Amino acid sequence: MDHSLDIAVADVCKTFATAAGPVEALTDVSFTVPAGGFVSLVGPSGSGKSTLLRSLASLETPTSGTISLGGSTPRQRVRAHELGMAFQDSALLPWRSVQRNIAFAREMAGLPKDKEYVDELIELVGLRGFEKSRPAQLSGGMRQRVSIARALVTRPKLLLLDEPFGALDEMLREKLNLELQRIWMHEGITTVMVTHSVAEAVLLSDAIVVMSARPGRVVEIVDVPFARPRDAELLGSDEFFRLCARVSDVLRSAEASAAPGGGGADVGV
Amino acid sequence: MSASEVTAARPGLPLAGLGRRAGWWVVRYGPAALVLAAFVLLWNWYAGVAPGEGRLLPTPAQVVTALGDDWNIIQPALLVTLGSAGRGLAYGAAVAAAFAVLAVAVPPLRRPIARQLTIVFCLPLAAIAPLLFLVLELPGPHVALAAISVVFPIYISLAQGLTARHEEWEDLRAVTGGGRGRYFCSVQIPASTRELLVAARIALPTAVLGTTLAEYFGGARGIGVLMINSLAQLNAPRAYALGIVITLVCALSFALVELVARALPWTEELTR
Repeated sequence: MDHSLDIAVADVCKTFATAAGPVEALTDVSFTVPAGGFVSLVGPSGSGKSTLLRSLASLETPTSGTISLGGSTPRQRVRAHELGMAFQDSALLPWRSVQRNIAFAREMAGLPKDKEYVDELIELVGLRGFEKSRPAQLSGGMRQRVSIARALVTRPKLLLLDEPFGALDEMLREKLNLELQRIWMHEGITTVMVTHSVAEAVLLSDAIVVMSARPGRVVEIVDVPFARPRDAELLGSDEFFRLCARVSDVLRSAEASAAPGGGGADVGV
Repeated sequence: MSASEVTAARPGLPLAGLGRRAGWWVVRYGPAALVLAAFVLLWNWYAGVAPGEGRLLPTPAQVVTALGDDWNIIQPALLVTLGSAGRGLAYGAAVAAAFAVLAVAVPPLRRPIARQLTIVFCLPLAAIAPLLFLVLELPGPHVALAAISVVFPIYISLAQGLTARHEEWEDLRAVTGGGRGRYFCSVQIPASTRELLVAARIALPTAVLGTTLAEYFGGARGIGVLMINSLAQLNAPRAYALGIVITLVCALSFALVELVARALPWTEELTR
């Protein structure tokens, strides 16, 4: 875990200029993640959680505030090929096999080939036997596994996941969540994940950053105290349900306070 | 009850299967065959009643006979034409690719390049052809006209493919800290395979027709030369046979591109 990055986000604001005037996507967002930690960003659509994740990846530049990744800016970390990212729509190259799709991230980064590590990752994400398959021959879940393996192949110090299992059904999502936990524990990489699913966030995270919409801001940071490895048994336990319910409550109150109209007349119904 | 049980209960299964297969063939190729048959019959009838006693419009049978009898003359001419068309296609594709890369590298040049090429493309080839004979040695004009006629369609397809934005892949490039040059070679070029196939579908027949047209205006050998000579000798059956040969060559080039497209099934997934 010593090679992982800690994250310090301080007073980050992001304003987008649109035809209808400036839109505040993020307002005074601050939180920290220790090296090797797993943090989820949850919130309604429009809460800026994707914008925040993209800012960590240097795909967006905050209007004000600072983001420190182990003492450096996201841009510096990107130049050093130290970030890995998996997208909601796996974004695989349809003309490449599983193997070559995973190797692609190293190729892009200009890193030397590492066939052994590619093979190791294929094993790790459970795709042995599908090395030569093209994305069209894989199921949605398998494609997301390839996407995660590709994010890991550069041996990044920070893993960013943008709703990686958003398009999958409940059962498959649960299975892949447990696999992701196993991979994360194996690799020990600091991970930030955007998700819509409260259960997914509670199952995987050390802490959950709950955000509200219009403007996007942090409402509360909920710690998740469960011991690891967390398993299917935990998923059925009362304490798990209670924490999920609490996160959902925070989300609901955040949404109510940001309800359209803004006058606050419909709060407390 | 499953589908296999249903079919198993039916007597005479192999024949039924054969019947369904034949039915599929009828549905698939029937309309085209009917249209072709109607066309040949109509042609045959009109050739009989048309003025000129077959010198202007031969019957289909006469044309097929000419195709067989004169194949020893047609075949070498065809090879010459295909050679010129192939060279023209290569030059034209190279010029189009150079312009496309320029359009990618310098975005402000996109509009002016497209405009200039449109103007060149809109000049009637028949107007350019005589000029080419003044400045080029044979078979230069034949090659040049093929090249000129393919530059525009290839450029348009290539520029569209090579400037297309693939946001997620570009994000991936940015996150991995990869260079634009590498991205261009590893992603942008393969991602424009669809457009490349479209370009090939148009450019292959166009190059052959461009060369044939140039041969009309002069030349020692080639399908166009042979066509002009046949018409001058009032040998209508051979002239029509040559027309059929050129049509078949163009159809064949289409089938060839189709074959390549089938070998690359993932091009269908590039629609987004």
